[in-house]
Amino acid sequence: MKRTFVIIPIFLLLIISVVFFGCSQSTTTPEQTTPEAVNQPEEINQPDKSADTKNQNQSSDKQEDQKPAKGLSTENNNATEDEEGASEEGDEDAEEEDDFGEFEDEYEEMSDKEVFDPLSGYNRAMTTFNDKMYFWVLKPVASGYKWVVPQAPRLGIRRFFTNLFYPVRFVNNVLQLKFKNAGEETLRFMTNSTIGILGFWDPAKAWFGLEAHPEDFGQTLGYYGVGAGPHIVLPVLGPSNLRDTLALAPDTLYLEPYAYVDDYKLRYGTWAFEKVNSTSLRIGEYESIKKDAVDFYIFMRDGYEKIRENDIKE
Amino acid sequence: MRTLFVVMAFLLMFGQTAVANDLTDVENLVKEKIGIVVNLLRDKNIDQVTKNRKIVDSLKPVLDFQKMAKLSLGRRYWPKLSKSKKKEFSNLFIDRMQESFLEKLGLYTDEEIVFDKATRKKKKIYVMANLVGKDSKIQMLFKFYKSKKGWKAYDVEIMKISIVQTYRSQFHGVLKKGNIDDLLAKMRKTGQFKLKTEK
Repeated sequence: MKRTFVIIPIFLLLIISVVFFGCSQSTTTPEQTTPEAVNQPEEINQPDKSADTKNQNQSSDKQEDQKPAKGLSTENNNATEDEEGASEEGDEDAEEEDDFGEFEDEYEEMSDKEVFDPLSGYNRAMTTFNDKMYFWVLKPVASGYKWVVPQAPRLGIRRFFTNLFYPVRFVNNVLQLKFKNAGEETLRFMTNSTIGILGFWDPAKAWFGLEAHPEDFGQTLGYYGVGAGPHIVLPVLGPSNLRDTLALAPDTLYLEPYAYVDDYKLRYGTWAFEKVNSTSLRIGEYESIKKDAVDFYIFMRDGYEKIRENDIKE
Repeated sequence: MRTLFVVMAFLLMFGQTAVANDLTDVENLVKEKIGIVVNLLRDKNIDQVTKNRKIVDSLKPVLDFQKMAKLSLGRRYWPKLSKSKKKEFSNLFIDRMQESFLEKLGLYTDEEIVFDKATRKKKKIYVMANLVGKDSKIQMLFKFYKSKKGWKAYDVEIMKISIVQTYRSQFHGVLKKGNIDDLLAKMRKTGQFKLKTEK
């Protein structure tokens, strides 16, 4: 009996504090309050009932004392649902296993099933080759170029090339039935080629807020449900997969500006120049991500596939 | 009965505003921390070592590297490690993360940082920061959970790629074929960072 006298004031205090806080805090929508409020009274009735029964049979004190206590604790649960979930997590080594519960399902399962990567041997070798190409050829050239040419013209040149790639983006937007984006691309191309002086500037975005919508044929195939297929690292071009490699053909043969340069020296010359120019603007990025990797090939492979997956979903 | 009804309604209100406050709290936390870091990065009067140390000090309370270390090995591998291995792995991982963060921050120039509204996902809170540069936009998503010491980030996604997930696949790749010692050796070898932070 004595214990109930302690519990009742605590219960009252709790209600008062809750009411007080409730008043000091701001509003809620009525729709959300009603369904829960209907549910709650059942639980709340419990302590009431047990209090009633207590008056009737005082013999079994112990059992009944537990009941109101239970009622109280369920109340507490309702009020602090959120804090509870968080405090489940141990900070250090304790409760290791439980600790993963609410996080693990966010990540891919670490299963024994092998990732489908039949070309991994070749791919690893080609990753090393490309790495050497970068450090021995591309990076030195791009660094020298960066040293000679200030950043502003290099940015302009990058925009010029991006503008020329408009057909790739336009056609693939249309193929994916993204007509609004295709229209925006067209407006961008018209604006930037004229006011933007051959695309060296980007007034379409700066003044009119027109955004670019990069799409390529690999993404178009992905859009129609074509799977990525095995991962393939291409010489010089870097990570790719079967779908994207095959999809290079329509883009490069018909849509990219290089396709319309007849002189092959000039064609590959401009291609290389564009590569050097864009690399000069991102020196340090490759080095930095390479350092982050524990297994560089897996890092690049998963990174590429994930980025493509995201691009296709967009 | 009626009073109980009213009480429950208030209870619910209280619960919900607490949630809304969490969202703004976390959002403000990220904004505040990023503000501090950006100011430090722009400050040309302090030397690199002090700068790095100050950045790490300001980020430590919100970036839970220990949790990231654990999650990157996952339920499958972490619990099986001995206590000393756990410690060694965590130290290597945390060093790597810190220095990798510092290095990435070094690439920051003058991008404007735009925040999206914080969103709630189950018990977690996500805050998206957009780094808008000359002609690029980088999205960074900070994922928070509520630890005993307040809200902390357990993962960061850059352009939708989760750092924890990338490490998970790599560690899984190594551990499937080898054991933890192979992984630790690999981490010691690849973790040759130049940036030092005075320990």
